[in-house]
Amino acid sequence: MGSPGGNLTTDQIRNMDSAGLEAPNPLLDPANYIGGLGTGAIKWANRPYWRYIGSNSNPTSGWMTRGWGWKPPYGTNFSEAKNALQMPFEPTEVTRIDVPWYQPVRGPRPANLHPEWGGGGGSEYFRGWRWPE
Amino acid sequence: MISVSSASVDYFPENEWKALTQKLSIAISVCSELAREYKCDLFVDSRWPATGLKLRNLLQTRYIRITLNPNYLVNKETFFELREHTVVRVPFIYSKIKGHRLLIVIPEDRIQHKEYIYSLILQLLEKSAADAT
Repeated sequence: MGSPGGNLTTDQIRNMDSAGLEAPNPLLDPANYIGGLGTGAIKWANRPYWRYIGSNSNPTSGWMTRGWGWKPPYGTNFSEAKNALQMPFEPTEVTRIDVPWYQPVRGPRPANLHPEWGGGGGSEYFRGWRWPE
Repeated sequence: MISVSSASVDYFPENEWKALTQKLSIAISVCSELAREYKCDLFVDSRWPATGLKLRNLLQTRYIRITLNPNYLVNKETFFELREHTVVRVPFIYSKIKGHRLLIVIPEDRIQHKEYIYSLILQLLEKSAADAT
């Protein structure tokens, strides 16, 4: 509450000063950077998986892929996906797979078992503790 | 007796998968026997009817595979191929298919001839043993 005429009292000025001292500049606090990096790393680790699918695909399959970012690694370039993931047919669709954090996922490993279908090298993941046999 | 996998598969309805892998049962048994004899791994594939051997050394893995016609999903022709490829791999850093080739086409009526399959793979193993010395 100001004094009549809009002048501040000595107590009000003292309160403002102490309030200023108690509110550190967040840009200078390293904890904020570390916290931010941590949050970013967690978000990155939880980026989505993707499945390239076609008419022969099993909708319940556990096989997936993912790239470095949040988008499908080969976008809608299905011939590149076929080549990198060594698929026996050219996919026609890509679907996002959200795996809950508590479910195990095995991978990545490079696709390299069937060079007759493509050059390989794409990242394969499988939902489970072990690669299926 | 070698059990035939009835795992949920990506590219085939379950009945078709069972029928195709059943055709490979003799080849699987031959490869298991040779894997024990030559101290290498049995090649298994949960997505495509195939069997064979995996021969590892420090930086590369050689695959000798008997695999269903790679265009089966398109032309539905049931025959098998003996293929070979090598993957050079440094874990987490580098992986590349060094070379691959089709060695022989195995007609459907020969895939269950134990001696024929045995001699085909044995020739390859003996050749690679001779190359290594």
